[in-house]
Amino acid sequence: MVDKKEENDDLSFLRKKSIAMCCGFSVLSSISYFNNGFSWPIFTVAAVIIIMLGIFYPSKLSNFFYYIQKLHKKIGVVAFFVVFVFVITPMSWVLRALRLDDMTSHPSDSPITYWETENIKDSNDIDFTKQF
Amino acid sequence: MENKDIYILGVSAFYHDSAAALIKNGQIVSAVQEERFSRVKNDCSFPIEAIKWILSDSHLGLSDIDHVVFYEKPFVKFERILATCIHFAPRGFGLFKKQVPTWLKEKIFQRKTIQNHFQDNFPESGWNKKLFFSEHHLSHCAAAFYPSPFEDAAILTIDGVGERVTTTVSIGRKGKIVRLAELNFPHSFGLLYSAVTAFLGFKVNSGEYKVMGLAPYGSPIYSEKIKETLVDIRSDGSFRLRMKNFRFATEMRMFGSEFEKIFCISAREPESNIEQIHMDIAASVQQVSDELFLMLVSYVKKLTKQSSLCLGGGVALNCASTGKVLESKIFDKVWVQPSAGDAGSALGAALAYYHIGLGRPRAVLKNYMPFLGPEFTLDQILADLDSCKAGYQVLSPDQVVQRAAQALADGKVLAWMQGRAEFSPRALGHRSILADPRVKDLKKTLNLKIKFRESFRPFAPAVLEEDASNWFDLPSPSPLMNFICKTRPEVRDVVPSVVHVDGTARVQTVSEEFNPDFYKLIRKFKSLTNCPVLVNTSLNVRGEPMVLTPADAYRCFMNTRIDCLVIGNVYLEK
Repeated sequence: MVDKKEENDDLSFLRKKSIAMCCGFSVLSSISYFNNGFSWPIFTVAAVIIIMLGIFYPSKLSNFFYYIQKLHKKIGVVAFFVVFVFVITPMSWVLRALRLDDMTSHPSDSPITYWETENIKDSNDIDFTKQF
Repeated sequence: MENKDIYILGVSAFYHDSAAALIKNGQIVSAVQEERFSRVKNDCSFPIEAIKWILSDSHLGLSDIDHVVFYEKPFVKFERILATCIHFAPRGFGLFKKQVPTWLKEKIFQRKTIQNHFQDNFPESGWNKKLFFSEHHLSHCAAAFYPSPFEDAAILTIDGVGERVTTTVSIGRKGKIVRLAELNFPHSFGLLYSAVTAFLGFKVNSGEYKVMGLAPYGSPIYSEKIKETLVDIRSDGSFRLRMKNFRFATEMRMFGSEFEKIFCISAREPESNIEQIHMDIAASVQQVSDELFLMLVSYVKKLTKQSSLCLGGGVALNCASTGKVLESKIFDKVWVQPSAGDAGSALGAALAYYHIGLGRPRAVLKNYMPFLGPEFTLDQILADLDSCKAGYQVLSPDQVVQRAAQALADGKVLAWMQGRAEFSPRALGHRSILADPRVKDLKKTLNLKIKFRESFRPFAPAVLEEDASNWFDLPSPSPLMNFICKTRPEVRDVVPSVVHVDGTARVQTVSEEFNPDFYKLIRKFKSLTNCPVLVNTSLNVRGEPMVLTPADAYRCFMNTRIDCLVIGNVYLEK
């Protein structure tokens, strides 16, 4: 019973993915067409094939989506690397230069205590409705 | 107008040790960890089985719950992760690529995730969807202070990290908690202890107590080195970690290669041999922990001028250090939440919301009972045992005690399951393996043939409260097994199985008021042997959570060399 439900869930997931990918190819096809690109028929055919397989033989798409997912992960890592190098790292330098980074990572010789007693949020003022 | 009861459900989840707790008009009704149901140790998944049990136990539906409170604020936690990535950049891509996508995909939408869990599991419940968020350390403070027997008290919480805070000092006064001082991430003593735990080849967030158990076998020869190279401690107990030696802020691991240079040894592989140097490292970090605790507690005393102290947060489960705090007499009274880690925060979140969020007054509890989990009727026990095709005898309560005590006196190992399950990582006589502490090689047998765990692990004694002072140097009763103390030299050879190599023991004092069934058993054992002490260890095997149901207990009984099993009034023998 549980297996059957899981199988149905998998098929439904594959169908949703195929619809999403069909839409993606259709958009690509349209862009290519309006730019006088010659590749739009390829995208249209790909969109049709994917949606047909998604509707009638979704299980045949499982391997295809597995590799797409792997590719997606790799693209994700590259995207995060780009964000890290071009956004996070410069931001870190700027914050450090402006002394706005309030996190400390080293012991210091100057203070006699590391306790923070200023600007402590009063527990009795906490807003329980907020996630922040 | 009739006053309506206020039910609040506290939930902790998604990190480790997820749990749920229910309070009614500020009174604690029930609490249980998800791992007891799922049988996955330190289970971090949403505690749906725990919630289902809590509701059915109180004959409530989700619509009867007025408020659901989550134990921390997810956005602040995510902000801390981003701030950490920014602070340590260009280092830290490892952490960034792992943590940020997970948070963006799942964790940042925790309100929705929690609501979906409730909706999927209680589709027709008519839940009011009132979901609230406490703060991680406020939940710890609340779990430590509100169930304590003190009207006013100082509160010290120490853990790995919550949202951003790692250590707090507060005062609990009537229903309110006022925070006075705090230390922030990445400077966390919990994470330092965990880093050493990982270096010694044990699992982070669950292997720390193994380091504590290993410590007495070693000499603290590295403690000065730890203070020089890993942590800078000021005389008021405040500290900062020397982050260049740690990796938890930049990678998905705890320590750097610098640890190997500091200790002149490579990190121990899990399950490999434990050598003297590993014991020395454990002893050293434990000594630093003891010193730090004493400095912290002195500062807390100076700052709060209170006579009572409540301890919370995962590090407060280090009963060697809390024992030193008790022994120091800096505070007249010390109370430690038995479920001081994140599981207890489910209870803390509910209590914090009741007293602070709703502003309701607090009634001081004389005796906090940690027996808040499921219990089973005779019919349920027999049904479970029948389904396992077990052979058993149903006896009268007196007969059960007589048979069990006699078995223990004969040197047999007994599994003892009575009443409601403990809401605590420690067995307190409701889900326990018991044995005669006078048997010499018992420690080895229990560790290797019954618990299937490392041979160095010590066992705790349970002693009648009235006899405790004759056997142990304990300044006050310890019914929650929260403190390690010295065993009296004259009895060390009498009960060798519960005395650690350094002559200490983690004592549980048992009184009739607190734990009547267990008390009767030890008293009977005393009448047979003249010894008011039993070995008490949790009823589970290595890698598994404590048993919950009679079927769990029977499986544990059959898969180990336990000789007898008692569940309620049902007696089983191999």
